[in-house]
Amino acid sequence: MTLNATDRILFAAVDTGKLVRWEPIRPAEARSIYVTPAVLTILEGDDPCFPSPPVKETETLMGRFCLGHLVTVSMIGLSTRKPDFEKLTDLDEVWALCARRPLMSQIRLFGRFIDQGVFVCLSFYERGFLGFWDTYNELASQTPNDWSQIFGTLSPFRGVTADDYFGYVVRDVDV
Amino acid sequence: MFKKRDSAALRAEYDREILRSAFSSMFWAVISDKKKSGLSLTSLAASLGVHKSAVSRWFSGTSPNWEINTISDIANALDVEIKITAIDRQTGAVFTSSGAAASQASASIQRIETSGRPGTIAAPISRGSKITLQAA
Repeated sequence: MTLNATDRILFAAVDTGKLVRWEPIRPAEARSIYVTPAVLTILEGDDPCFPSPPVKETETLMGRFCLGHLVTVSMIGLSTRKPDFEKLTDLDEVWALCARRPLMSQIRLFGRFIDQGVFVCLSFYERGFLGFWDTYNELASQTPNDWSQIFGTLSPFRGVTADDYFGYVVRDVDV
Repeated sequence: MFKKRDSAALRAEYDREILRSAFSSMFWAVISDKKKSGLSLTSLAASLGVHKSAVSRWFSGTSPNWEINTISDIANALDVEIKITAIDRQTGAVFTSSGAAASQASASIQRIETSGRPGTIAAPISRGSKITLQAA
């Protein structure tokens, strides 16, 4: 297998413990998600600050993503269509993975793409904590800094269409 | 894996959701392809006798829990044939509607060929088998 430079940087982040590859309940290799150890601890229900994450919704959303199944996307953010992924406005390549059920326990995982179909989750927030849009964006704006802590000067993946970022089966809800 | 993620109940729920997702994802792959030749959600809805908003909701993130009849009707409206394959997770044995299909070697090849291509979706189920759906 030939690794490109981005692969090497990503695998180095895994080797040094800065990131962990998220493994769905069943094997899936179409797309992949990497999370920080802190995010993984939360998603596994082992963080006392977040004792009850919405495990079922998060598992199925992330499982669908990893399997290459249909995910819904908004490239313009602030969509009323409630997509699975939103590209946030006025921020540089910051995406939100949106687990929206149950309604009162919604969560957001902020991150960036490192390659097509490879999403790096860098922070976890309960939707209620994020509040209104200005606070939401302020917290999401930490994502580039979180990225730099792991990847240094490596630029995130940049695309134009939803298919550029996700590949496989994807629906841009604003088109 | 942490116990919450490893529970049999969660795995069962996950498998049901992913199987539902497999159908909607497969159909959306077909729709995306046929849009190039003029298919619209409006025309699809009309051929199914439902409102366009219902069709749009089917492919808006939460996978619908379709009855078999609905799956058949959607396949007909899209003019596709659905083929179903089960792959034993332990042995790789492949089963189709007409029986055991292939040896373990060709089952492995089939798993590789049917992963990730639009219109061909893999969906895990419990009890040691995997279903692969193809729209042709």
